[in-house]
Amino acid sequence: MKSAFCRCHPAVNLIFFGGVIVFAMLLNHPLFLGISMLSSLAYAVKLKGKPMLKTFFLFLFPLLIGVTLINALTAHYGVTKLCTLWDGNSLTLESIVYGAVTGALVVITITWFMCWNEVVTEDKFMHLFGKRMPHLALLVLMVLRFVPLYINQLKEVMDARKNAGLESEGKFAKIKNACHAVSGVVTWALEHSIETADSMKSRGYGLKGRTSYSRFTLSPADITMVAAMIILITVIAAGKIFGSINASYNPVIRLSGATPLLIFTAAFYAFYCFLPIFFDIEEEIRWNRLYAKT
Amino acid sequence: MNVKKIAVISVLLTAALIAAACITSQFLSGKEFYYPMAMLIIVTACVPFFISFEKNRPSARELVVLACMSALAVASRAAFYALPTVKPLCAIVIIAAVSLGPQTGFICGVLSMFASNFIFGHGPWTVFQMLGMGAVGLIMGLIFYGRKIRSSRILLAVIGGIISFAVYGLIVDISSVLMMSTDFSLSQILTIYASGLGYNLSHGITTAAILLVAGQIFIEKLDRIKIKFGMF
Repeated sequence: MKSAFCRCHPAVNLIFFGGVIVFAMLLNHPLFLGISMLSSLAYAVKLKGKPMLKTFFLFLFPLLIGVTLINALTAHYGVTKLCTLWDGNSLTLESIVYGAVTGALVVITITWFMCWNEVVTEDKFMHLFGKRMPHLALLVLMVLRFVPLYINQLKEVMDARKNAGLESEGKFAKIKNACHAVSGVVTWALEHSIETADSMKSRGYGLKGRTSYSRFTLSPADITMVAAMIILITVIAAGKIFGSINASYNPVIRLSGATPLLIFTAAFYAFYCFLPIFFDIEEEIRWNRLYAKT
Repeated sequence: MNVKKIAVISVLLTAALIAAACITSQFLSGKEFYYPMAMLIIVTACVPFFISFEKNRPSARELVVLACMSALAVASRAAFYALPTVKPLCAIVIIAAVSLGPQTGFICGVLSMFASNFIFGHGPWTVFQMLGMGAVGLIMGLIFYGRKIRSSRILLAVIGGIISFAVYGLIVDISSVLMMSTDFSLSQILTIYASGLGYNLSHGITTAAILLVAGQIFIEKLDRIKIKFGMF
């Protein structure tokens, strides 16, 4: 497992990611955006390894620049005029800064979702939402199971056709063969689905009193995490409500100064955003201690 | 509960939420609330349909055929992973809608977009993609399901291409506008739409091409299953 946080109860993961993404959208003060971006990148690198850095520089950073450019070139609000563009409109400092802030928010959201995709796998998602909508949850799980099944079947059909000498030759042979194989798989898939349905029915699908299996239980560590997150969320939300974290960029850039309350909230926010990393480090220390004892 | 009741409830809920969003945006300055609010509205609008699907207790056969069509759509998206603009997914959703009906088309579109994002990565765009693909399925089902023009190869391809270009592109690009724009002026919105135009155009054209080549064959296969097992 890449991260101990992955082993937590799905509800813990959901609360954490929900909080982090909602806060990123609501707290657009540069300090808070910086904290969120740093922590999301750090966690994404921990989960996905070095390829994540490549993704950041080849995809996310250009995206940030692109959003900034779109806003700087098409929006003309603001009071600090820098120069006049070719179409007679003016380039303003405010539009560049607000564009960069928006771009940073886009990058942060995407990076947190990259972490989400690694941590909250299908089974966790289904555990969270499947109880309320059992049929839809069953549908999603069936779809996810059928995809590899069909791809395997396609490979088998292609091999069988090849060995039976049924493959056509000529100009578009590859496309033709692929089409024949796909057509066969589609027919097979549809008939197979009916067979599956009949099998499900004879095994008691839709009868009363059937439950679904779940392998997740709340451990003491999960409860501690939930309590810690609720306290942190309350403190950060209070900081926002009492107006210590304000930032507006249109028409004038106005940021809250470095008051003690702002720094206090920022510290709590940083702790919240780095929570999965702290959790991993704590687990690692405990493991190493246990390992050293034996 | 029948479909019409569900539709009415959904429309009322959505209208109430949009009104609430308009009123709150008067008090809360800044665009931070636009994106979460839009997502909330979409999810709320879809919930009545999901509840009706649950309440109707779909039979095992309907359920598995639906899963089968969605899985084919997802697998087709996975097959062209290297070419992001070639998405046969849309064509397969359209085929499901045309031969199984608008409601099935809607659920098939929503489901295949949702499930395929477990392979391609979820993001804030997932909700918009689900709604967009569901809308394509719904509209194509309403136009073609149970009508004579269903057997016209060219009409299916042309209308399918246009709908997937216009409806899906329009809905999914709302998410980019909400994310990227800062002042929501017309020129800015048009710039963001223009930057997605090439992608949407090629998506529409490939959908039309796939429908032209494989559409009728696929529909025949589904019809055969329907007749053989007497369903839908």
